[in-house]
Amino acid sequence: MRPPLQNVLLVEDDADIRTVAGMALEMVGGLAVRACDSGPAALAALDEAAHEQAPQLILLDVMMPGMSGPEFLRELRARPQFVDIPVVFMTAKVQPEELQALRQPGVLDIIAKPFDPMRLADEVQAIWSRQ
Amino acid sequence: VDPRRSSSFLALRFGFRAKIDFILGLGLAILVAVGLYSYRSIDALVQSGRDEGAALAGQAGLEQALGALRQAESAQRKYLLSGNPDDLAAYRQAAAEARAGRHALRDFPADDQPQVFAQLGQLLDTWLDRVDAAAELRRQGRAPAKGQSDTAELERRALQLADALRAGGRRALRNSRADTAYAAGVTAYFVLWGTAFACALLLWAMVVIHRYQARREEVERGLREVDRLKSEFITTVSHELRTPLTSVRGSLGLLAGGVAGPLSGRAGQLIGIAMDNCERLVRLVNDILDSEKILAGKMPMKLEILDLAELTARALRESEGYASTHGVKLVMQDEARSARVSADRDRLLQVLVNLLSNACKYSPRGGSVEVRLERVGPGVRVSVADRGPGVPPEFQPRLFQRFSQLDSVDSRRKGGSGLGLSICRGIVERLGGHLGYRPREGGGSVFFFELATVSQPAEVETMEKTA
Repeated sequence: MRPPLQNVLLVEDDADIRTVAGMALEMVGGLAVRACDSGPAALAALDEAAHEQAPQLILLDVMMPGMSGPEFLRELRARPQFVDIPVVFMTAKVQPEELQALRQPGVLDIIAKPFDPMRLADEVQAIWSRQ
Repeated sequence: VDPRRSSSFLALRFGFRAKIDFILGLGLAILVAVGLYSYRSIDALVQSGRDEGAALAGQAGLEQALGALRQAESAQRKYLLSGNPDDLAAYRQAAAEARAGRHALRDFPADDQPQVFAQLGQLLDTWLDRVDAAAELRRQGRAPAKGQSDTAELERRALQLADALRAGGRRALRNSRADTAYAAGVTAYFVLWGTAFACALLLWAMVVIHRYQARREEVERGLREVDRLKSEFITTVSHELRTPLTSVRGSLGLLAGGVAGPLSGRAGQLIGIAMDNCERLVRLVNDILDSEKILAGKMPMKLEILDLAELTARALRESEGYASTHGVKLVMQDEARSARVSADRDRLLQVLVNLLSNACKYSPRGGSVEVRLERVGPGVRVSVADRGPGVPPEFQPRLFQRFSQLDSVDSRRKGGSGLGLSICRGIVERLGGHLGYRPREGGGSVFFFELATVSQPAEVETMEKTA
């Protein structure tokens, strides 16, 4: 049995969604959320926090300018200390073939946008405990 | 594609048909005319060749008859002088030849001078008879009477007639040769120019067809490009719509959930309205995407063997909440205990939920929606029956078309996109089934779909493979 999920990293370029998702996870789900607005920012934050508490899970947007979600994932996996951090994608692209392209080792699940904010934290917890 | 091009495409199509019909029709008519004319001419040539052959044979017969007659006469004179039986035999042979030649005369085409021919025939016969009679008298040792053996006058007249016949034959032959030469010339001319003209027409038709083909390919390329752009546009727009909807839906959800503090009754009601409509927008975006996929034939299906009874039960459970908001009861009339079909679970569930929610929407409060699962032939039918107002007959043909709803007022009241049924039909047809409607006895609607069942495990395997 894994330790319960307590802190997550949220990578999302849209400030409004970042705010809403952050609130949903923190206030409804009681999680510690660190939010970043881009892949490079998230990588920097991870590097910085490496010796302190690394996030247990990363919630990752797919479509982001500059570095997309999958590109961020490649960068992340290239660093040995982050190889094991599981990822959950959040995407507004919901076509089956698009979802199929996102599924890869280390990606626990895909959450479709728009999500129900009151159930987002539960959903993430369920994915976490299911892995 | 700009409208000018599409209208020119129509003009091209009609122009093309008329042109091709005209060219090929004309070519065909020319070929038929040339064919008939050549047949008639060649037939006439053959006939005149035959006539000419007969005329030549007749003339040869006449010459032979005359020649043989002279020989017979000289052999007879020799016999009359010598009385030698050998001379008699020679004479008889020559006489037989003369008769044969006289016989061949029958083929002489003497249509224009039958009397001459008949006279000549009689003269030759008389001539031969006299010569014969003289020879016979000599054989018996008697001298022929003076006038009886005199054939000079007969010969003179016969030669005159023969000359006339020959001249007539030659004239006829000359005329007929001139006729046939002229007819052959005209025929050759007709065949040559007719065929050339028909070939030119065919060439023209080929040019027209090729040009049409090229234009059509160009138009089709354009249309395909437009289709691709439309798909891309719809996918992009649906994604772009979802992003702001996510924050709106999220904010409203958090507000309604009391995360930002308790709401007054009215605020809660308003937030509820905003949330419902937000959900509706999301559904609309999903429906437009689905509809586009179905229209482009690009909706992927993840086929698996599943129990339709079980899936129907799940759809009922999922629709229960929605039904209760409309004050409607969902009733399952489970006639077939289980029915295994090969289908995409999520998509088929989408169809069932859509039919159920339609039935709930249109049912009167306190009514019930009856779901029935039954075996029909080699398949299974799921029908969803309500006691709503039903579908007016004049609307039924458009029932499964995109964006068709009874009227705009109705659309607002019932909160649909007008895409649901067209998507359902698209999905069921992609699964090889059929989705239909029939009015319910005693009022209301029945929507049903039929799918082929899968029974044998072996069949299951092959289905999965082809899937």
